[in-house]
Amino acid sequence: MYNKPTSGMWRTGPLRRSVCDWPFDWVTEITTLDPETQVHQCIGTIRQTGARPIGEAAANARTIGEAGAMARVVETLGQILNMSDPENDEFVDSAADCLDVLLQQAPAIQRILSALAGPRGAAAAPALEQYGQQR
Amino acid sequence: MTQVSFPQGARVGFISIGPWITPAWHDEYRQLAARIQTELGITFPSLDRVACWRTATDHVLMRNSYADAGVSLGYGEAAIWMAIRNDREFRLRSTWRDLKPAAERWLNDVSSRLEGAFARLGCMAAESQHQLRLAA
Repeated sequence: MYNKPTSGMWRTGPLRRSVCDWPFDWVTEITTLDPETQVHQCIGTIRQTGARPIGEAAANARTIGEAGAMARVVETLGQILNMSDPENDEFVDSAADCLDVLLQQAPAIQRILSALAGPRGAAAAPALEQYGQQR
Repeated sequence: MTQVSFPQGARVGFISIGPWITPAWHDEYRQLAARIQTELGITFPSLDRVACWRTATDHVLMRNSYADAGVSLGYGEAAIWMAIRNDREFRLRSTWRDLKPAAERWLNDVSSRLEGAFARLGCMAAESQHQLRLAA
């Protein structure tokens, strides 16, 4: 059974209101661009109550949007733990090798942290209805 | 050669977009979507902006009573398309009266204006490899 998350560069879209008036939900889409085929796909839609403050709703959406990248990093961290465990078959008796694999994850971790922090400056303004209102 | 997907029966124009494998790919996509919405909105005032998907790959950007218009990306190309709606609301309306013939007529009536809009968006000319073409 295929049980890997959708591949590619995940991206969370702007928050939209589900309807114009109250009560509404915050709706946003997670899409991905496959690095090999360049096929753009919708992974799913996140729907949150409109009672949630917009900043918090946007942070929640960003966090879910980074789930694929976080899963890949955690998978690698698990491999490093196996490499440093004498009881494990993957054990390598070298702290330098473990550190090397860990440091290879630094760019991915920095990118995730930057994405979770959200946009700054003018780009931090809520980007509502970039693609128009959902009917 | 593998080709970008688009809805069956759609009127399609293709733009060669080249490699978009950068962290800023989503910004470029937003600009392309905004350009399509602006051009189609001017050409077809009946189209409203929407945000939904027909499948995992066909992004609907605009909609009127009969048709969806949108964009699909893949294999270095963007397919800009217009197709008869197939959403739940359209199917419910069609239970009272079959709307597909009227929708087909509308699409045929506007095909020359649509080709003009495709050309203004930079879709490939008819003689080129990626010609404007109708889906089978």
